[in-house]
Amino acid sequence: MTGPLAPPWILAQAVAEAPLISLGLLDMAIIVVYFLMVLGIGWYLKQQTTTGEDFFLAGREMTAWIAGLSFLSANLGSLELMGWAAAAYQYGILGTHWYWIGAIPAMLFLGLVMMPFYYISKTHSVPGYLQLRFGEASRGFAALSFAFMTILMSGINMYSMALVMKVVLGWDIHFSIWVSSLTVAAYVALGGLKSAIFNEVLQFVLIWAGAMLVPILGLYEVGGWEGLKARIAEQTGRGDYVHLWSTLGSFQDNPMGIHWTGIVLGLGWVISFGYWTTDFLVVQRVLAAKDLRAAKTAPIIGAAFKMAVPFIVILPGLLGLALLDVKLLPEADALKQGGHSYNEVLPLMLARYCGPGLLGLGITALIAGFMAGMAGNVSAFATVWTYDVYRAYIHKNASDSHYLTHGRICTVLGVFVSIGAAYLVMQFASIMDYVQALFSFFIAPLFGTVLLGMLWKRATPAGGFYGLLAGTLASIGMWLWVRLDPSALAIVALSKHAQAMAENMYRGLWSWLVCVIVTVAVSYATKPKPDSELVGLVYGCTEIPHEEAAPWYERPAVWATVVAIVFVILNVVFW
Amino acid sequence: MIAPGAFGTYSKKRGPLVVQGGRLSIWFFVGLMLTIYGVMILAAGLYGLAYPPNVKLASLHADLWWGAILLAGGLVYLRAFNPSKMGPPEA
Repeated sequence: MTGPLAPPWILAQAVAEAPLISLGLLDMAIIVVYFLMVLGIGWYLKQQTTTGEDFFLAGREMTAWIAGLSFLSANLGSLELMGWAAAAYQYGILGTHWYWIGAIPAMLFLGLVMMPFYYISKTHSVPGYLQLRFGEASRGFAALSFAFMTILMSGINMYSMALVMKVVLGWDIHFSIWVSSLTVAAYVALGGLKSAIFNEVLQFVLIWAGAMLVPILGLYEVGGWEGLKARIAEQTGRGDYVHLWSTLGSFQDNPMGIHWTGIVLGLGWVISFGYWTTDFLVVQRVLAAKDLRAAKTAPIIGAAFKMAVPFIVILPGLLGLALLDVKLLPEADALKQGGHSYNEVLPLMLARYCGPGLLGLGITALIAGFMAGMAGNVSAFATVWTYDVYRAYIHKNASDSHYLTHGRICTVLGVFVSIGAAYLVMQFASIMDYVQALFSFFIAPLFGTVLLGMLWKRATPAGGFYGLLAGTLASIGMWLWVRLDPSALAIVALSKHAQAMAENMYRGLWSWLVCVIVTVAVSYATKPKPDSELVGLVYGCTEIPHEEAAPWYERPAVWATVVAIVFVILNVVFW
Repeated sequence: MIAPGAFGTYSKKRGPLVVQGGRLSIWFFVGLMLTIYGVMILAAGLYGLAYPPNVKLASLHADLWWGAILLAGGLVYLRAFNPSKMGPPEA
């Protein structure tokens, strides 16, 4: 899954004459073993999936480790891996912000502050929470926009992945799309969320097994971190590729053209908190936890591993910059002149160190990343569609087994609609340029609504709905404004030098503010719900159940503190 | 590696090993996958001793020791999450 945190510069259109890598028999065998494995797991889990709760919430029996790794995995798609490696080649270490400040504070906040309300309210989904807190209108709006965006993102990921397979391996685009998506449809329809979660955990281990050799061998070859810095300075003639913060004082001083306020407020606050705490795709994984402590611990475990991901994503990009003999080009130039684009840096580094066998493992990790991301999309879509659209508006009060069957059908339909979206993107590739923006239309205002809903009991149903609506419309309005009048960029993103990513972040910040202001204003003008209806939903009306007594090393707060300390140290070390 | 259940609560009777009542744990599948891949990579590494692959740092024999690590990790997980030690599976 890419989502609003993924780089917008990935893969416009790429066609290569000869594949980058050719796989041997052993490599193919490794890929086939993976496909058999995921199908086998789906088949095995089918017999355990007999109720709606099994299918949509994985029976609510996942341990903190399983929920936490799956939470992280759903976000760690292969496009994210290749996209950020490419970004690191192009912009240096700055991409790390999307893993550290753009994720860690939000994940810890989700675990410690927000998770109790999601979990106690026994909701099936984020729109389901909105229904309990603000009523039908907010739920319907959030459910429909989520279903629409999920399917579109899923189609785009599918197409991009097939494109990567074509460029890197020379595989036919249609073959890649159909084989991988039918496999995903089969195992999610059979085992539901549990099947998706099992495979995400498998993929998590596989990604580390397949990708970790590149940074290890790369650091060995280049002579450690000091050697890497020296080589990059030699190659690029500038020293700002290896600093996280010291170059963010002005838009012009760093390779990304971004200012620290954009990183801290836009990325670190609105986009990151919005994504990690309200995007149902990731929250669904934690709702499957077996008790409140597991639900609180899961995002903290996810955060600990999230901090380590730059090691296998950003570092290979930097190593590519230091070590590769060929100079990589932007996508458009690579197309015109022939040659390799930034996006190919991770496969190139893989091919540099990995012989037969290891190469297959690395490619399998990328395929697994794609399939796990897609499984995340379709399982979240099936849940929201079944509970928040179908059961809410189309067919109320049916039996549990009816919804279970409906969820299975929805999964398969969701995959087919995604395939349709993939072919649509193939026809109109420019859709890709807009989709990151589209996604951010809904995420930033939704965060305002959920946050006020959980923490402020005075927020009223009307306030919640109109705040969400106003924030979303404001976001779309700002986007249209810049499209129609490019000089408006200087107002929306505070600088006419701002790039697409910076524009997304500032637009998110403003639409969040609009949402919060409108919610507060309308709430004061309308009648609040009585406290008795807010029990279990809002801070101050809810007695958070005590976690069962546990020794200090099992307490979520202790580990959140540890993660926070490491987070600060890392930022200082790479300042 | 990861220590599943290290901070989750789990029933002492069931142990940390299975998700519920004797079903196979996800960690068993992880062990299975690592073992299969470990064997395959290790075999490629042994073959590479005679016919080194055309990659940088081939002299380090990364596939040999990486395959051994995967295999060792896989066997540890397979042993720890062996379903036959978990009592009879649910009907």
